[in-house]
Amino acid sequence: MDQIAFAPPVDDAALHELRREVRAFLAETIGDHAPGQRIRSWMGNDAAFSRACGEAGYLGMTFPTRYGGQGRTSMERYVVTEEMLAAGAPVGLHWIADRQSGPLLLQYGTEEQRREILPRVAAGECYFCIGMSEPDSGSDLAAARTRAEPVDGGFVINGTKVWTTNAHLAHYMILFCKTEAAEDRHGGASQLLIDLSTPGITISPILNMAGKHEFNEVSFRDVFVPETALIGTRGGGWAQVMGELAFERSGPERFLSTFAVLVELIRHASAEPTREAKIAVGRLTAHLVTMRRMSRSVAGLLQAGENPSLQATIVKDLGAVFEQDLPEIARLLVPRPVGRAGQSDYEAVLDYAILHAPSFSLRGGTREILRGIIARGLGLR
Amino acid sequence: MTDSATQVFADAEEAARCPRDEAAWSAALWARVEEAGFPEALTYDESDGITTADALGIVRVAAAHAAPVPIGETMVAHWLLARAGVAAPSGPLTVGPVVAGEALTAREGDGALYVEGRLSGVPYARFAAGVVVLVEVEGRTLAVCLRAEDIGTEPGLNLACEARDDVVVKTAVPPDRFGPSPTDAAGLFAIGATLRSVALAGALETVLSRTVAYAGERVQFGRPIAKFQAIQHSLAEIASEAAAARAAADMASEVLTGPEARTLAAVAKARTGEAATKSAGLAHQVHGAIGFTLEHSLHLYTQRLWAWRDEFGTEADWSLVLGEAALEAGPAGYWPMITDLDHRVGL
Ligand SMILES: Cc1cc2nc3c(=O)[nH]c(=O)nc-3n(C[C@H](O)[C@H](O)[C@H](O)COP(=O)(O)OP(=O)(O)OC[C@H]3O[C@@H](n4cnc5c(N)ncnc54)[C@H](O)[C@@H]3O)c2cc1C
Repeated sequence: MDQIAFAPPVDDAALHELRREVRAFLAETIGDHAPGQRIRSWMGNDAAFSRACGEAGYLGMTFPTRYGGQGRTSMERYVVTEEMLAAGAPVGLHWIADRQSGPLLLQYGTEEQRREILPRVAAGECYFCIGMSEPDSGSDLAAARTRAEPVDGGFVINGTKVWTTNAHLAHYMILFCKTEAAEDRHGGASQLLIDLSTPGITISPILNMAGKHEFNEVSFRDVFVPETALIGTRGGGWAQVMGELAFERSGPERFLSTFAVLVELIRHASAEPTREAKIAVGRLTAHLVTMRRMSRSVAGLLQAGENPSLQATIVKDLGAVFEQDLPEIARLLVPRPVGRAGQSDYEAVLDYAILHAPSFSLRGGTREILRGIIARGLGLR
Repeated sequence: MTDSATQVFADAEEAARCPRDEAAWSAALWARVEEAGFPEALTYDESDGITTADALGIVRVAAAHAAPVPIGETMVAHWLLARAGVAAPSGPLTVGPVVAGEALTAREGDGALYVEGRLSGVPYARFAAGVVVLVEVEGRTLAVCLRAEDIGTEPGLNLACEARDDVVVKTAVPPDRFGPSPTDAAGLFAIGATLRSVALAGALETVLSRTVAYAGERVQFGRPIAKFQAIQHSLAEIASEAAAARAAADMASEVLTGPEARTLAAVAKARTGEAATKSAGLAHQVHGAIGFTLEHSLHLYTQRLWAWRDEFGTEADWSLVLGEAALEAGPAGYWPMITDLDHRVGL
């Protein structure tokens, strides 16, 4: 069962130095952020912070320098992202561009697309959203119905995307759509680079149950985009989007979403430490250290050019359970007072985590879909 | 190294079967273990190209075959004696104390070391050629090699019918059989936790592969039960738990001494113990009644999972250690405490 073994992660002095550098940067830029801000982490938006990250060389780190990147390794990028997440930095605006859209363009984009977009991503000035899900196509992505009809000089797009995180703030979408008929249900799909200011695109907010405007409905009515919008090969979108999902599923954000809860729990529990609290925090620590090991190992495998999608799926599935457990464990150890008047930092963090927890095992692939992928890796399907 | 271990332990499982009130043991298997040079694996240094993690890989493979021999304990005993400058007897060895808080009394006089007391639950003591015990004398920790003839043993068993015997000692040890230990009793306890974590990860691999295989063979409602999504998801959960256990155990097996070793042993024992509980339950569920029989081999592994999670500290014991460190570090120091665990190598 070597598929369940995780190679020892890469580690060297340069990474420690980088980690110190990032910590200093974070102390400088967001040192005064309250826990209630930190818990938002990769759902928190701050354009000035994104630009500062770009200036510091913390975005597009693995892009070649000719595209405005730093030519650094996946492990270096890993160190930077996990420090940002552990500190609860407001990385939301640039997050998708840096994590998956940029790397996708680097891999499949045309030279023109790379030259135009990647330097802006690396500067923290260009944001992306993901156009995969539709009203009738969630887990079953291959059932997507949005069509981009090939016409003279380009495509005409009709259809509707939903749950599109940050579409209202993003400059571009990477659209997954059908460009031709195919017998195979995975065939005939393509990915297009969509400038969201194109006429015919309507972005409408969908409030989540916490009352926040994070995701949207994006509808396309006879939207014309030029041929140059095509990413990679026409009809080859399925394989590309699967590769994109590997970037989307492998990172430390898949177990650090509620890290601020753990920090606040430690703050409160250390005032009067009980045996119960120590054991609970210790157990969570064992999980966290283990998941970091696995996740860093995945970053190392990505760096070595391998395809650790099974390992990444395991980390995401375990990670979602951890992120969801955390607020539940905290609320029993350090109860929150009833009522919302004069909310403390602890309550703010706990409330946010409880209200957002259901999404952790949905976004980026549901728990059931992930377990199906693991089962396939075990040869069961 | 793991390849040759896979060969040596390939048929070990049969020897693990024994009546419920007896201890499993195989002298023939032990002979092959010695022939392969495994007992000394922890005494090689990195220049031999064998890391501690490689050496402990042998323990993982042995556990994946339910091998009824004290390979981990013997490796640690050899390491303690080599560092103490004491020649090791040949044959299977074991170590003590293995229960937190237990200790033998010792005092030096006329060039000999007088050692006295009782240790409980010592693995394979009745089969061992020697027990390497750590004792405190005037603030120093000594590693002492007690030969079989120096001790009395009272047989005991763990949940999986592995020998866990009480050792009774009252003897004078000559100076060539003791020396300064590379670690203290708490350090040995942590190394024991790492040994069991590695073994848990090994047994979990077998539980996973056997359960996957069984689900592919067993037909109900006209198809292999592996085709049912509920079963697939149970198997996926076992795989994730086994993967986490392996990662945690691998991490701890990279370093056996120093402050990080104790923290990583704590992580590993807490995480592998939890993985054991969850996976054993799921594996039995997937196997149905056949897995609940004495005849079927599943219990050789699930019983070891249940037994080993309690040895050298439970999940709760080690979580407590980690939780204390976490609360000590406080809200600002917690994350650095986690990332500081990245840098360490060796024994
Ligand atoms: C906060 C958040 C942000 C998101 N952001 C984006 C975004 O930016 N871009 C984007 O494209 N999408 C986004 N999504 C959508 C997300 O990818 C989908 O929610 C997800 O793929 C599931 O689709 P669905 O919600 O339609 O559920 P469905 O697919 O309808 O699933 C409903 C339930 O049925 C189960 N189910 C479905 N199929 C199977 C099966 N074969 N076997 C067993 N069970 C099954 C699911 O696991 C789930 O429990 C976001 C979602 C959330 C919650």
